[in-house]
Amino acid sequence: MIRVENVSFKYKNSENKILDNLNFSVMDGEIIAIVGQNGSGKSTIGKLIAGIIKLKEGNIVIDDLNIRKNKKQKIIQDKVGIVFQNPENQIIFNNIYDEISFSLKGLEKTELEDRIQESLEQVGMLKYKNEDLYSLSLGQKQRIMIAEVLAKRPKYIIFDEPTTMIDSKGKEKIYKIIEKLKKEGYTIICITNLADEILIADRILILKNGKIVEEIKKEDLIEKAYVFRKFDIKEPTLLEILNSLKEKGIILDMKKFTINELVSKLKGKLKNEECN
Amino acid sequence: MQIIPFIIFTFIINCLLDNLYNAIWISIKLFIVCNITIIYSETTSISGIAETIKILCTPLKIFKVSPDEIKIMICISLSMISILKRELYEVKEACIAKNINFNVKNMKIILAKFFLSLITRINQLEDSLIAKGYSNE
Ligand SMILES: Nc1ncnc2c1ncn2[C@@H]1O[C@H](COP(=O)(O)OP(=O)(O)OP(=O)(O)O)[C@@H](O)[C@H]1O
Ligand SMILES: [Mg+2]
Repeated sequence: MIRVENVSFKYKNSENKILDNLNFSVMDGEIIAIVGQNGSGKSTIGKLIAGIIKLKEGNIVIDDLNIRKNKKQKIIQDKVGIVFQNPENQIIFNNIYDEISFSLKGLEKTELEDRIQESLEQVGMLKYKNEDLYSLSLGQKQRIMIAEVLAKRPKYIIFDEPTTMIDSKGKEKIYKIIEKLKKEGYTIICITNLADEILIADRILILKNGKIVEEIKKEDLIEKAYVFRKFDIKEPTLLEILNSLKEKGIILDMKKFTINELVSKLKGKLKNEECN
Repeated sequence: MQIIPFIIFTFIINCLLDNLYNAIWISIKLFIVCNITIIYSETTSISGIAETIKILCTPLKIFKVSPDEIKIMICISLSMISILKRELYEVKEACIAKNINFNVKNMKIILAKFFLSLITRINQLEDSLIAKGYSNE
């Protein structure tokens, strides 16, 4: 479990607080989406949890580990992995093997190879194992970056707008990976602005001016769709559809089904309608 | 073959300051060195270059400098070059779109823009290096 308690943050050269007394927690095995406008401090909270920037006010507790009291960054980074927006700025080597083993200092060779093999398989990139990294597409590069994080075997993974730069086919593949990772028991924090990424999450936190202004559970999504509009965030199209279906008397429950199941349910309903 | 004017220039300078024999000799040397460099950088990959330098640096082991660390350092700097190149292209295209000529007079604007966006990119690279376990502590 990750607990964020009274966290405030200010960059050295900025005047006002980027994060202002933030409180939330992430349960094990949960996917959380953090949404908000540009500059609302989403990336900052992600970097704080991953131990990339130093915490000064408040506490972040990961399992039993208090980040502020912890001196060794490595212990945090073994628990929490982070994937950034632009894969181009994360790749260092030209070779997939070198790139992934770069994060895995001090492992034995056989163990290293096992991990690389396994993580590439998890993201479906095993067949590109011997290709040049620079010749891959942006979506494939991002999948390699995910593999690199997975190879460290963290318990928590933070995605900071992982698909913003990637085309829709590549996006879909990454969503599939995230959903699969949840099934495998990873705990995921997904920082995002995209409606589709919101729908993967179990819980959605809306961040504005460094404060959490709203928390929506997946099962309340349909009723609370108006909240997105209130904070100028594009509401997922699926919610619009479900809402207008509800007005027509067709009620589909988000609590019980995943998106794919909902879609097949909808298909079934439509078929029935056609028969009538 | 952008180096030819440069070689001719060196040749003339050397003719004026030194003798003809030396000028020819230096031009030939320059030509060979440039070509080897170009051929080498066009045909091998980044990690290929780094690997070669690593092998060349192996004797440094006696000074307790690990060749592997050198390789990582070179890879990071080379990946910086590709980021730099991409950034320069993007700035150039943005300037063209805004009708700013890419010339010496406008260099100030272009460089300012270039360094600003470069800083953001370097910050991102730095973040991801820390995330990969290479912090500056
Ligand atoms: N290294 C830094 N130094 C100073 N200020 C920064 C730094 N990084 C970010 N900021 C500022 O902090 C604020 C929040 O940044 P942050 O990156 O967390 O926002 P964000 O919600 O992730 O935005 P985006 O949607 O653009 O990614 C912004 O106003 C930004 O200008
Ligand atoms: Mg951000």
